[in-house]
Amino acid sequence: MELKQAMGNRRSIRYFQPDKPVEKEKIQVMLEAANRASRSGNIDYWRALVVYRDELSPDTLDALRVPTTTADLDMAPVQIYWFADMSYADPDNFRRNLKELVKVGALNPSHGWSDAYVDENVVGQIITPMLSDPQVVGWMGTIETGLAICQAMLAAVDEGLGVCLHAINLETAKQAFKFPPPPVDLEHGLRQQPRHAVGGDPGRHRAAQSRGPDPEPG
Amino acid sequence: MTPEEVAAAPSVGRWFDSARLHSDSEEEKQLRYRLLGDFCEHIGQSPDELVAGLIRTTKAGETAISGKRRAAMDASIDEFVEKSGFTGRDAIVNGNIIRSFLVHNGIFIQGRAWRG
Repeated sequence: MELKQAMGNRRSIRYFQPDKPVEKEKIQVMLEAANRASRSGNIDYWRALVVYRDELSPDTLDALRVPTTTADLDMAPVQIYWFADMSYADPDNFRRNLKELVKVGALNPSHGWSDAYVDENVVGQIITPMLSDPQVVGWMGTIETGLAICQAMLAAVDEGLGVCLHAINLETAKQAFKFPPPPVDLEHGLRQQPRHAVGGDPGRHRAAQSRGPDPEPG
Repeated sequence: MTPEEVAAAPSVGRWFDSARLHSDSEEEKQLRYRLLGDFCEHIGQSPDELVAGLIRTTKAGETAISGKRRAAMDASIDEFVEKSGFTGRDAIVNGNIIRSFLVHNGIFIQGRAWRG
């Protein structure tokens, strides 16, 4: 499928074939697509948690609902929870990665980059002040995570999956999935990126949906 | 400046370390030393002074690259290359060798591209 075709075909799917499992290979493709997203400083900004509906207890599944996720959760065999990993916001991460990019020539001396420039100017004058502002840290983590989610969703469409991005029930998700504890500022991260993609084979209603205008985003 | 004097400057050592030039042939190394030495004479400063002259101290006490002085240095490199009689690709390459010295000493200055 062409990229533009995948972009054009993407819809917020709310009907899924509930008994058709999603192949792990397709989930792997989504995660790899997310991993290939543009990322400033070549930093790892996000984490994704793949959840299989049938491995959840009925109570947990029920507790995960929010007003905009009702039958979707019952039908979708897979949910992927995305959150920004706020531990990215350490100047040393940028220093290390930028110098690695200088080393391999991605940030090239012909364009003015060098280890010395990273050490003496970029980290001290740009990165450190930027990361000292919590609002910028949250904003940046959200955008970078969003880029990854976007690519994952398009890859899913390319794989023939239906996807929809939803808000989550933060507290239930934290309790149910026991997200990794700090150093990740989990709560902050989830608040910044309180979304998950519901995935699965689009149900028979998809054709009707795809003929009309794109439904409102989830 | 003699090539030996140029080679002894800490900023030149830093350039060779960062750009991994130590494994170049002796002929290439001498070419770089001579070129930078000639440029230093053109400007009237040592290699270390070239670098230091492009750094300024901000009001907050941090070091930063002086945009105006960097632009002037860029123009001086072009002027030196022209005065030295380099033309075409040689002018680009030799100008970029001097810029490489500055880049590897932390001065964000962009090289010229040879477009044929």
